[in-house]
Amino acid sequence: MHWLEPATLREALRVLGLGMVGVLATVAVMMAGVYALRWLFPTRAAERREDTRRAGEP
Amino acid sequence: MLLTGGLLIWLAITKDYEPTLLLPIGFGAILANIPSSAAVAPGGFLDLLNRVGIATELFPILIFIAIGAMCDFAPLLQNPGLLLLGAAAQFGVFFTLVLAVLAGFDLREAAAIGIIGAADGPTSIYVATRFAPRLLGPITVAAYSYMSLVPIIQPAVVRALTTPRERRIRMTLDRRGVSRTTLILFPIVVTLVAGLVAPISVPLIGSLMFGNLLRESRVVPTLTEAAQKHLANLVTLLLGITIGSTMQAETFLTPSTLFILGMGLVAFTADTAGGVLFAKFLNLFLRRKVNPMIGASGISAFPMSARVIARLASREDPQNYLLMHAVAANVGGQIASIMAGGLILALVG
Repeated sequence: MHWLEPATLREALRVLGLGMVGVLATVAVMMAGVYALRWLFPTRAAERREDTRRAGEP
Repeated sequence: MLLTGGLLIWLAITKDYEPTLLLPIGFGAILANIPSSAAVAPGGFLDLLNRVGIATELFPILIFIAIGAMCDFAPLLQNPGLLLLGAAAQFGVFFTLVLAVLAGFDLREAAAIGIIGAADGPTSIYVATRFAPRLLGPITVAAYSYMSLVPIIQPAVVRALTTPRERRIRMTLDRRGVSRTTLILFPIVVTLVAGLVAPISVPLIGSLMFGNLLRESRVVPTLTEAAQKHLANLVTLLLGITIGSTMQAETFLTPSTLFILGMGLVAFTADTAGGVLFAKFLNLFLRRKVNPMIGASGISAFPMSARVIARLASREDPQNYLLMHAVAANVGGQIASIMAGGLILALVG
């Protein structure tokens, strides 16, 4: 630990801003990717039946 | 330090606080602090494990393969929007980093302290090994201790930030299901996106997603089972005792350790607040409202956080079943916490 330097605080605030924006933007791209995958590869009826069976539903 | 080791073992046995980690850590601390212990002397077995498994970052990577093999991302893929809550719940990582800088730590050490907010032990170990090896012991103990305190921390923060009416919001389940092709391609797509944004995160996200690909491929059941059980148990055992061996009196019994333990609480509180407040912000624009409580389960403490939030919801309204949504946000938090770790490495490194 040492005395706080303004430049270090500015750098920390930069990491806070860029970090949060970066995480949100990255997962937003992943989210878009998941929607694209779901659109390109929809669930087939057989898979839905299998999911239902696994979930233990009637 | 011998007493600290004993305390960790006591917490693991009598309080059931993350016993799989705290018990080996506690015993490792005892082995390391016996005067002139040959276990941690150069060439000793703990020194060897430290150099091979921690300094090379190999143990956290192997743990991620095991976690990936255990993770079921299907609830998240049914409701991909909840990934955003996982991202918002990483706020504590960056907020704590700024607080640590204000307290006088240099940026690299502050980043290692902030990553406790990832609520993700292997990521904390990975980042701390790179940025602040001398703080590895307290950071790991804080990360795992607060994970076991999620049932105490989160309900208080959630209640403070939400109204009873918000806590009773019901959410419907998307029953369309997810195709097998999507489940198989998901780990590959996530690895590519994360790798392109922050190449430094590839070892972390890549190993998590490799484990998940083993699971979802359904063609290597023996490898999947080996990753889920044998690899997870063996590496957890070695990781714990090796982390414990880094807790030597001259580096652990310092004011920094107390500060780090305090910052862990701040980080988990800020994570929870970040997730809940972001869910409330989304509700300003959404037609089908999100129950803001599930924002809290965007932290990576899986599956404890999802269970805590689902229980909280059913206490408010016994007919409100939020478990699957909370699980979705929770596994989203697993991915987002690794991204937060990767971005910290990229931005601070």
